[in-house]
Amino acid sequence: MIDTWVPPVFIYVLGALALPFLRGSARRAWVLLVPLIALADMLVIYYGGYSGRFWSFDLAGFTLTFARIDALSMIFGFVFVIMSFIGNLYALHVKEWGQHTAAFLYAGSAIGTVFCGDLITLFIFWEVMAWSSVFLIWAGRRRESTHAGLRYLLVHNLGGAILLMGIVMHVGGGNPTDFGYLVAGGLTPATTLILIGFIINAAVPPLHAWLTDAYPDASITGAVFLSAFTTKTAVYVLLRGFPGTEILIYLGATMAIYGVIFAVLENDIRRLLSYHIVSQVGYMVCGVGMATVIGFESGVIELTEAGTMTFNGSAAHAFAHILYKGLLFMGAGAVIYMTGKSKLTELGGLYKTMPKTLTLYMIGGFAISSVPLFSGFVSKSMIIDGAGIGSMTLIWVMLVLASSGTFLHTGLKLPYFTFFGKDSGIRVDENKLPKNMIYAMAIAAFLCIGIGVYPYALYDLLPKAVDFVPYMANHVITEIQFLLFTALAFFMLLKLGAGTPTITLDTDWFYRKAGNRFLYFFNNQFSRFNKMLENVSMLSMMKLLRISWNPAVWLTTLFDRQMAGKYPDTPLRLSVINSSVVMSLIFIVLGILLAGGLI
Amino acid sequence: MSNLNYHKNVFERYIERPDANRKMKNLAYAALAISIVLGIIIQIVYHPHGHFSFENVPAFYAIFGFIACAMLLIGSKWIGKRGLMVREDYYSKDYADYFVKDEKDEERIDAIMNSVKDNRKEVPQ
Repeated sequence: MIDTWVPPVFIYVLGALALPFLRGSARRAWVLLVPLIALADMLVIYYGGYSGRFWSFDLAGFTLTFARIDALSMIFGFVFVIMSFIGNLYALHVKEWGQHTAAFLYAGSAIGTVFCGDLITLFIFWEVMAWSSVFLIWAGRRRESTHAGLRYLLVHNLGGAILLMGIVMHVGGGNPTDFGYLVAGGLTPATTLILIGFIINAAVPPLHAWLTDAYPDASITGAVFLSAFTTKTAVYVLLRGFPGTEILIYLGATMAIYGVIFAVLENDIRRLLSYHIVSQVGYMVCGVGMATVIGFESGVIELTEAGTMTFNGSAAHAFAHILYKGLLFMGAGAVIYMTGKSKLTELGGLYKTMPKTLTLYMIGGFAISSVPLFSGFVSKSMIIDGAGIGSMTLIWVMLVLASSGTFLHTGLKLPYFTFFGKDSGIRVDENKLPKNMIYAMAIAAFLCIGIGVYPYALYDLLPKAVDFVPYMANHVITEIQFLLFTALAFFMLLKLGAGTPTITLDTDWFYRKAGNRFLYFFNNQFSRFNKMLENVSMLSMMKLLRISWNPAVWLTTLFDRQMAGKYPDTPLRLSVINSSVVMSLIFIVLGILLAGGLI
Repeated sequence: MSNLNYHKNVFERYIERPDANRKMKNLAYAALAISIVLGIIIQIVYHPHGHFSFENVPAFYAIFGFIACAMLLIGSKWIGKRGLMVREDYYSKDYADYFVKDEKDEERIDAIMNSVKDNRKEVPQ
């Protein structure tokens, strides 16, 4: 069924194809226009009241569905389109058309993943997402970017291969290619492989290192796109396919803590923020795990009370997270753009010269820390509250602990040591910051506050009916208490919070260092051993050859040498004839013995 | 700033006052105290029932926030000092020479390029 609208991914692909042929202001207009057309398209779908599967094509015996419209895909679709507009506005001053094209393909394939209705289309967009995003990393144009991009691509190729294996096994097992709730009958080997493919993109430790490795090396504008799409697409597919999978609860809660622990040790501002992506996505993954399914009928899942809360919470948190994390990356990017430095130890005292960036960054910082009236407050509390309703004490404690760490780093440590703290003496002119960067940050900041002040705009988009009131007197005051005392501890232990000029080892050590050492071992020690074996065998072979050419001569010379050593004065030689007779006798005896043995 | 036209921004105006440090500290302590008092008042008046019994401890969130933050800072640094934090060139020193241009190669390439250029010069003559 084809209607008055097209799947938004087609608009993005068209945008990417047309982009290289445009120049100057036409290109700038196109870069902004395409997301707006997509947004208009989305509004037509939303207000047209469409629901179900559209734009399906039959190909080689499979049905490819490009538009599966329901509340879950719409909320992710909306935030992806909005974020791609903000990101494109932020990147408007970039002259290279390659970056814009990569960004279009990346955002488009993420949106395609969200709207696709079957596993085959999903896999295609999944792969496009991996290789289009790597260009944004390479656009960092540093040696580290090239290396990190290659590692990023390798990890994603591995994830894609595992996903494809899972899909092939799943479909080969007689299941339809439809992408819906996949674990109705529990986890099978096929769905486990699909799950692993998904959680590699969700950056679940120990498979998360590609994120914190590559994002800080991306280009300033590319990192904004990267922070939004890959991990949140993974959250979407987990929400779609694996709600209520118990292992995700523990993985998610571990992720939330893991991210904040490593963020303490980080010195690079964008790597610190990357660890917070891991931590925040942990909340969403945990929420997916806690969304216990109690019924599954005609493609619609039925959830428990706590499950509905966390299912909604994960979707809402993904929506809010994309906007505030984009804002934080934009703020950090503005600092790097102006100063050329990205390390906490080299920055400081920027409040004098970058007040606008500081203000906008802090809005993002407050939003991620779930300060009341900012967007994180209305979305994160849903997941934590869901853990409370489900009376999972340990998970609840872990999530609240991690939210303390979130405020500690993103709301206190990073801005304190970048904008305040010890004055680094860096003086920049903020007016030279491209205006489009400021506008993009302002839009994101406006949305962060808007969602916080009027959460029902977001709640109306959520996939399930919402029964949650964020602004309760008790909730607000306890949250403020919590944050204020976190701040108190931070300022009391200020020395521990300061950045140190170090980098932190993470699980990427295994393929960066251990892999190198493995190769080094094979190139050196092992090959030396190999060469030694070769030498020994060759030498002994030569010796044997020499003996077997003419054993008589060898024996004679051996005998001569012996005699010459014992009786140096006596010129004694074993005659050739005698020795050959002896040799033939030996061989005859040996031959007889051998023949006797054989018989 | 020596520049007379320089306008101090809002942060500078507040932070660089002589008594700013003391005032901000007082404000912060007042905020801490008020948040605790308000929390206890709300607990007495509304009797909110949390999901867990330990939430009813007065100022539970304040204590939790403080301990959580202190634990994270101290604990992470403790873990980090045990081998996780390494020098900044830990990775880059390995592959530093992979991409350094070899001088001999440079010379050889220069020689080839020069000979090509010479040939070109010779051809039109």
